[in-house]
Amino acid sequence: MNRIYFLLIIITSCVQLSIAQNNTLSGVVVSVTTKLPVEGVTIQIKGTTQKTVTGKDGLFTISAQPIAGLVISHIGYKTLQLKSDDIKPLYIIIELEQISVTMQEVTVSTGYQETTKESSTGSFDKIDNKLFNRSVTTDVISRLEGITSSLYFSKVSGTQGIFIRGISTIRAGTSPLIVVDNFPYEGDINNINPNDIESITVLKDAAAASIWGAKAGNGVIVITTKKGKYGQKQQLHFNSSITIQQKPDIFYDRNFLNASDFIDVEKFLFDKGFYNSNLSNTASRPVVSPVVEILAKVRAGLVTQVDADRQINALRKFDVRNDYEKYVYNEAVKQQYALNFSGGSSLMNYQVSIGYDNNTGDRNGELSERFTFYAANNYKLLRNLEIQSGISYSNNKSLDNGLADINPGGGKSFLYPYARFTDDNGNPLTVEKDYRMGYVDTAGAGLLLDWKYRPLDEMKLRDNTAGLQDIVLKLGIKYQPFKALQVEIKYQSEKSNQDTRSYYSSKTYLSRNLINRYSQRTGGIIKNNIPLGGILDSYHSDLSSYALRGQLSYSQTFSKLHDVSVIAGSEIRETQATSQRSRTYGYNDNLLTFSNVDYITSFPLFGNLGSAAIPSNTGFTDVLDRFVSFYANGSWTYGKKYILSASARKDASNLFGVNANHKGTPLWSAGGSWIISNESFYHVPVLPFLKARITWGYNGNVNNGFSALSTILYYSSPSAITNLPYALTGYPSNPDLRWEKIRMLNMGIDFSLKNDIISGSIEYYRKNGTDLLSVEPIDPTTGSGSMIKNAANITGKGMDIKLNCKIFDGKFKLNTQLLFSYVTNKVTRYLNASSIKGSLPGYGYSINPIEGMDPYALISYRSAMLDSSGNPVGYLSGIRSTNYSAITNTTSWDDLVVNGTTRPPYYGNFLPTFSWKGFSISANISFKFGYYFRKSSLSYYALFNSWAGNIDFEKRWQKPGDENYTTVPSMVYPANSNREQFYQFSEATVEKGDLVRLQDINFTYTAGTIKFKNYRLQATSLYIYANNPGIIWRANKQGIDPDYGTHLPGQSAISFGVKTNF
Amino acid sequence: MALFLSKISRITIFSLLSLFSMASCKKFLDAKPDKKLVLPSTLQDAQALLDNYSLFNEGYPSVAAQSDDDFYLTDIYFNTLNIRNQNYHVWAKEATNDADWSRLYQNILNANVALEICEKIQPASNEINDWNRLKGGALFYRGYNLYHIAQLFAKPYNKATAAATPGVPIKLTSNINEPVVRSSVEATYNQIINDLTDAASLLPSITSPLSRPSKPAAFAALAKVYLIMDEYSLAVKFADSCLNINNSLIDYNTLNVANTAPFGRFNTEVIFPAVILGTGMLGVTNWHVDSVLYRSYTANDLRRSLYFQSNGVGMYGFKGSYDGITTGAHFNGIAVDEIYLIRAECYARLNNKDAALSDLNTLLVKRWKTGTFIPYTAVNPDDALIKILSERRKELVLRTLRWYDLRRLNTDPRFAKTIIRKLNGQVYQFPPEDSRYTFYIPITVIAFSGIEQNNR
Repeated sequence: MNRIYFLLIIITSCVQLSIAQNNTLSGVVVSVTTKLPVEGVTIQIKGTTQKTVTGKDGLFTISAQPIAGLVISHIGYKTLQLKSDDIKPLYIIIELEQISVTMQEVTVSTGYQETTKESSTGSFDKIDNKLFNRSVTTDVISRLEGITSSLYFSKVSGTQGIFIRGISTIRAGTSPLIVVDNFPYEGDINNINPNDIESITVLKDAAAASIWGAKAGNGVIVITTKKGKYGQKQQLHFNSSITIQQKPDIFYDRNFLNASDFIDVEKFLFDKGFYNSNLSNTASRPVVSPVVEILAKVRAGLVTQVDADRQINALRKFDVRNDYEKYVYNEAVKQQYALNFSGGSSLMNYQVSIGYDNNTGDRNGELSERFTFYAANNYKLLRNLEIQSGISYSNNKSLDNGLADINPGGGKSFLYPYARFTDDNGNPLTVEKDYRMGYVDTAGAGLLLDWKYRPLDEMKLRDNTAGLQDIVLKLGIKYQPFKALQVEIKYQSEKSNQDTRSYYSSKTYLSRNLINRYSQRTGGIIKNNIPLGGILDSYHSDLSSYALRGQLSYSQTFSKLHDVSVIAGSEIRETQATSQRSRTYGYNDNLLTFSNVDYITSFPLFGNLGSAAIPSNTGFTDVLDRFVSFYANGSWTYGKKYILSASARKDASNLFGVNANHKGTPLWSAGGSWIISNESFYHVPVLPFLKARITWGYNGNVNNGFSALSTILYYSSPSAITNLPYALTGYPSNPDLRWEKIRMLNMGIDFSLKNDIISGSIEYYRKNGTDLLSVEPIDPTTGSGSMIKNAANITGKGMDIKLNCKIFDGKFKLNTQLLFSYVTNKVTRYLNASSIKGSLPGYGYSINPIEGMDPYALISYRSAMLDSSGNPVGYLSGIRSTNYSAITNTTSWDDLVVNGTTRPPYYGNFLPTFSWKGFSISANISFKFGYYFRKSSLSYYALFNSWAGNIDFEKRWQKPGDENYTTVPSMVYPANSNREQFYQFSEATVEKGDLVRLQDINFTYTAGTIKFKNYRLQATSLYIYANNPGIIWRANKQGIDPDYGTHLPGQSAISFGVKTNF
Repeated sequence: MALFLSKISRITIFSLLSLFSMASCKKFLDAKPDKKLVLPSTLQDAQALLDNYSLFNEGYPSVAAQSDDDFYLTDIYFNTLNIRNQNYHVWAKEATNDADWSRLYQNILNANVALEICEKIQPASNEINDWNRLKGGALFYRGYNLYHIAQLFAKPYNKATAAATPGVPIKLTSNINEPVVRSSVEATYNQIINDLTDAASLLPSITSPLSRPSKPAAFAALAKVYLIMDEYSLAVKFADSCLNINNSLIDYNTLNVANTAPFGRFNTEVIFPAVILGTGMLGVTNWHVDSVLYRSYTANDLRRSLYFQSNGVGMYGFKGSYDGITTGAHFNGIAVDEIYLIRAECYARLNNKDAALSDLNTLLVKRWKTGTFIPYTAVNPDDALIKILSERRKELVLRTLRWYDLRRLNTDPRFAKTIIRKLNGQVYQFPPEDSRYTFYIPITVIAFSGIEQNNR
């Protein structure tokens, strides 16, 4: 304390002194981190030999005006250059940044405090700016792929997401908490421009994450945005890139059957009479394919066999994928521009950025634009009082006018393979949709609107726009009454609104179809219950969130041996999300006129197609989350060797009710670490840094979907039949509902070889999720078959290894980073298991809790391949059987096989970087081992009924003996859905997933300073980035990319970019 | 120095904590997380529960229709069915029926929650009509669902043994901790009668929309239940009470036989609309009417073309649902035609031949082509009864009543029937009064409550 008072006295006296002597400059040099005076600093006037050295109190005086600026240097500190503009005439405080002498000190952020990795006990993974910017993306999160230890990206459609160290819940969300600077980001994380990001810290274990309490169970990702620095000269940074992405490879899709085979199947089915009921159906007039229409005409004697064969054979050569590729898909182009200014004087600093992104999509008509603005300013009102302010604004606009894959409706989910979008002259053609073509041709007798569907016309008529705006305001006050204590108050307000508008003009099929369906004909008069005109669907949602935090931080060194650092605080947060959707009929986009309709009456649908009320598409939601939390976190370091840390947090919310808020124990963690290399007895010159650490503690997980109270739930739209609001009793009340609790043990070793030739960390952890929310069966006689309890358990364990090697470190540099993770999960308690084990086989992509198994277990029917008639053979009570309905309802595990898990237990990345002079090239190679997947396979039932083809049709059993070569069953009529179910989910369709992928390549050339007229461009770099060039090796022999499930794999893309500083 | 520190920190901590004092904190945290979640407390909430059409008017058990003798399936179609439906169709001993139990007791829970709301409210004078209607509706649903449970999970009613035969659990509160015990058949039917009688006294004669229970619906349900209990004069009494309020019959001559679904939803004959849980087996393409039954409709009987349409060579599916759809979710609520048939049957059983035939002829004249119907005559009440029961089967196709009727008629040797099915070359026989007319209680229920399992 005394030192500060002393300093203040000196400063005030110096100011008086410098006023007296006009020709001299005086000031003080302090350390940027400790704010203590630095002795022996050399202050030199630029371009001259005139210099001075600071004294014991850090003070200096130099007589002469520093016209060309100052150079401030000292051993162990970064040399600082000040321009004359930055230098106040009389008195200056200069902050020097220390260079860490031993290991490079890594600052990690928990969202509550910044700490160094070295002085912590927890498991942090830091992604610095350079690594973060190696890849080119529009969003922040996908840049973390392949560079973040233990982070797994699932890309399977429907279960996309990121997972830190496996999963720790069954029913709650699995996404990590995402924090931007100090508060959770409630809006869409894609609003954030990656160019505004300084660094990212991933909090993986209990000690690191438990400060986030009930929301930390899935790990925490803390995003730190760029900030200006005090005393930093103005910098202007510019980055721009363009990315070109391949068209999706629709020819990859296994779910396709070529036209010729498809037609043969249709002829086969026609002869069996399969289509008779559809052809005679006047109740719904279902879709009938062109080939079947021709065959029906032959049977009716309207077309000769010869003509029919000619027409049908002409169709065999078409492939609808060519039309999709030609008209629907295109190469996506993504442009990114970002401009950042930053700088600061001794009293304030600033960071301002502007970003613009313009991306076209995979399909024609898809476009998204994002404009971002970000500004952060900090002001030192007093030496010990800082005001922090920040604003970030994002405005997204998107057009979603690509033509989605056509769903013909009327029972069919895929288009027949010989469909065409245009005739030979390029004129749009119609394809079957919802009804039989013959019916829509004549139904209206000229009185109805055109009832045909032409894909290419529809594509042009699409008018779907969406806008999303998000604004975050931050305000903070930091007051340091004395050196060891800091008082902070932080406030954040976020508002976000989204508007989606889909306009279906009167020319669109959607409008024409609805109007026709609700038309009533009396003689030659048509009454339109839905008025002629367009239809407008609107959706609006608002999100608003407030957070206020008060925090005390105390850090002090006692007797030069004890470093104590404690924070404590409380926080209050509220997030409210509302939405409304509506539909307007008879809407005219030019005049803004509309018509009212009768939503109540159930109208007969045209042509005796049933009856229904007009859909209103109206709905409202309003969801509110409130939290009040208290937290504390402290660490004690003794002699820079031993570190003990502890953290505790108590959350209360409006989710679970009184019991959880009052009785619940705080979530806490404790940890210790030992820097062995700082011990006096440690003399291992090859291993100058060695640290061991261990932590233990609890994190929580929240599921907003459950209430502790006995409630009834109102449905969002009225009953379709009575037009009345209605409700249903929910789960029975359980006042003891509380957070899910995840206990975690983490042990790690950090090390660094001499000169950092090899450095890294090895960590081992165990997780035990208890009190997981799950549905427990209760006596169905109560009227509720189940209730929600904190009753399921899941365990996990794993290992994360991170190794950085400097193989060559001269002019020619070769560095590598190796990330390796092992993780495995097991459900240890779950009481709602189905007794019908035959219902368990599936794709294994979503969590399927079964006691004793991996939550992503891939379960199959035991298969004995095909018998001599081409039937797939399974097992029933251990005996070979083709009783498919019994096998698919088996209650015995003996008839099933657990193949493994669909989540790779072993995965990681290898990232070598070569550099020479200004050139640098790096490639990220990812690998995944030890997992399985189920390929999509043939279902005759789906082929016959929904037109869902599969490439395996060509490999089907056709004659005795084929069973020696193929596992694809014979085609039987009628299709037996139990036989299909058995085959599709039998062992025969399981493949090993293992693969090695070249995830990306980055090539960068960095030039030194370039002079251009009066401007100087510093550290300009040009880069080329190739994303997902391809798979290097895969275990399956069928060219399937298992990471995308049964969907199309991600395409390759190439980016070109430039970065420069002014 | 230390003093200074402690003072400053004390002030700061105090001011920070007072920001979120626990008193204001509790209020802050009492806010509802989702506006759609409601602690049920108002008449509006009770109304919303009872207006849950998909709960109280849809999804009634279809198992009776899958098991009755009005139809057959082709081998090919039978083989594509899942094992549960196959079991129902061939009366497999091991057939389980957990879904209907859960569903019907879920309805009872919702009715009980609505009842408890009503009981907590002291209605104001302007609320008394709503309160009566809601309480009556809840009682109706509780009784009506218990009636369905008793038909599936308790032995057929027999007055002599009812007090000693296990019935089904009676749930009168929403309390999930209340022990589940089996009542007797007598107690079960008494509860049904009590609920429906109370409902009838509270409900209004007309409701809008029709989906809401009404006084005639409660009377009609009482008539149905008393018929099962062989209480013929009580059945006549309540059938009378019902028909006094609503006796409108559709003249089938006004309907278009070409329509794929000739009868509209909520048509004038419907007293209480309800449909079964649809299943493909009962849909218009797969369900083939028993050929003897089909041939029993004569050419001038409009029901032949309004109920049936061809679905194969010499095969006919059913399109005559009073709910206007043909997907298999057939009407099995209460309609005026059934009440006429109940009254006719009971008059005949009470030896009032003329009144019985009068009711039968009043109904059938609306079913035949105008001018072609020759009124039924009978030599004695028994002759009338045989004719009435034959017409009852022909009129109420696919309302799941045939199976319920077999349960009660099997004790009478004149009407007892062994059902025979031939599938895949195998012959299945189902004799009268077989124990398989009663389903197993779900194993989970036995496991949780320890109640006695049915002998099947």
